[in-house]
Amino acid sequence: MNINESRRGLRWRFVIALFAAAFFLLFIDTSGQLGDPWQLLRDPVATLSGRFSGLSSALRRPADLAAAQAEITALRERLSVVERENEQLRGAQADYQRLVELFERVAAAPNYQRVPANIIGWAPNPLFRDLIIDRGSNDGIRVGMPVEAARGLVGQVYRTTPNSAQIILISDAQSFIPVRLSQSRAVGILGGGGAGGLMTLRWIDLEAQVLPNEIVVTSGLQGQSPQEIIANRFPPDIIVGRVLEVRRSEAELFQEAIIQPAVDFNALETVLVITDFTPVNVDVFDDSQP
Amino acid sequence: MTRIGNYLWLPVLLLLAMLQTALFSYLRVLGVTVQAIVVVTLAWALWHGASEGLAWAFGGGLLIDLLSTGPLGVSSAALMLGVLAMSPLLNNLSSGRLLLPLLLGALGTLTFQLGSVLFLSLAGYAIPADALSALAPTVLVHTLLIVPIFWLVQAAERRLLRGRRVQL
Repeated sequence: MNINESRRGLRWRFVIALFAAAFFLLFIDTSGQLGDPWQLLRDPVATLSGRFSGLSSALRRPADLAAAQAEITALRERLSVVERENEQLRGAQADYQRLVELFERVAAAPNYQRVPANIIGWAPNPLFRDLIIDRGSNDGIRVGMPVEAARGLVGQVYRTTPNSAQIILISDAQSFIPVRLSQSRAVGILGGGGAGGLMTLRWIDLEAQVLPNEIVVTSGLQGQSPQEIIANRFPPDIIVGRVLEVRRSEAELFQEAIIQPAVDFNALETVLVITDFTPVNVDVFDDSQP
Repeated sequence: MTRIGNYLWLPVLLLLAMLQTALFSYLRVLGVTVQAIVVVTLAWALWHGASEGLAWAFGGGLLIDLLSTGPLGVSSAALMLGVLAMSPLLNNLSSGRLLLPLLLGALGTLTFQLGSVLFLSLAGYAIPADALSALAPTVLVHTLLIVPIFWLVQAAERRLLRGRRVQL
């Protein structure tokens, strides 16, 4: 191999061809013309990613736990055994607690059909807040389905492959969902992309008395075009977050609020994909109806 | 592309993509997520030159976009832009120097980050509010990682090639 040879000069036709290919892909992807071949490519890549998902659990454990265990082992073998048993029980208790919370969430709204899914990875691009789950179109997951956790709304299915799906989080800059404030009952559109993972609730009526710590829930309102119905496909009254700060100016027609998500996305392990629910009937607002 | 680059680029980038989604995305250094594909691609370009770096950037960028909800091609174009920004000074690079790899690593990372924001904006995507405030720590962390990986790639390849000559 001759390194100097590779550095000798840049082949500009090669550079132009690569950029042309990138922009061509960008064009056909943003215009929605990217078809099945890329889905076929995404599936094995995402599925293989799942094989590595166990590695992250080791990272998320407290760093001093292993050191503490090693010290106990050196001091008293008996105590070490008890500690290990204790740790297993704590792990089991945490799993139990998580499952109970999920069960309670399911019991609170039993009319929705849900598919549980494990998180197998996060998107490699930090500009996007999205995650990958181990359930795909083979499990009945479809684009637009809402995703929730025990504590509230997580996001929406953005893309599916046969065995995995990409979830766009509600804190992503591309996410906009119709919500309602639980006390003032004012509605607005919640958008992600705020600094520090916070979200912004816009288009709130200026007359509404919005207060800090007020709970924000999904409104369940949808549009009427197929695109609107897919984009706003959220059942009502799922907790989304709480109001941190209200920004109100008499010079504006609407007020806005900064919202903290109810779910700690970094601590998520299991989510529920809502595969079916009865949407709110908005036909009464249609002038063509008698 | 060099012979070793021909064999390595796909498995290395695939492995990095898997590790990125499952492992590195949980790791935060100075509040920044380390983008392994970006770091290794820029380090590879430092050692093997712009042409080979561009090919890695194209493939690596596609993998980043395949595993995120962003449009396909944005990361490829931005990463190639990062390699291109480094290319004028790549011929002056020698293995012993520290300052030039640091400077080129910072330049490549900065261009990639700005390119990503630019291409996403052009494609009509909203940009997170903290994207630009995260720029400085991202460039710092990636630059500090690129240099040791650059040295590691150099050392590994020299050892590999020396072993091969003995065999022949």
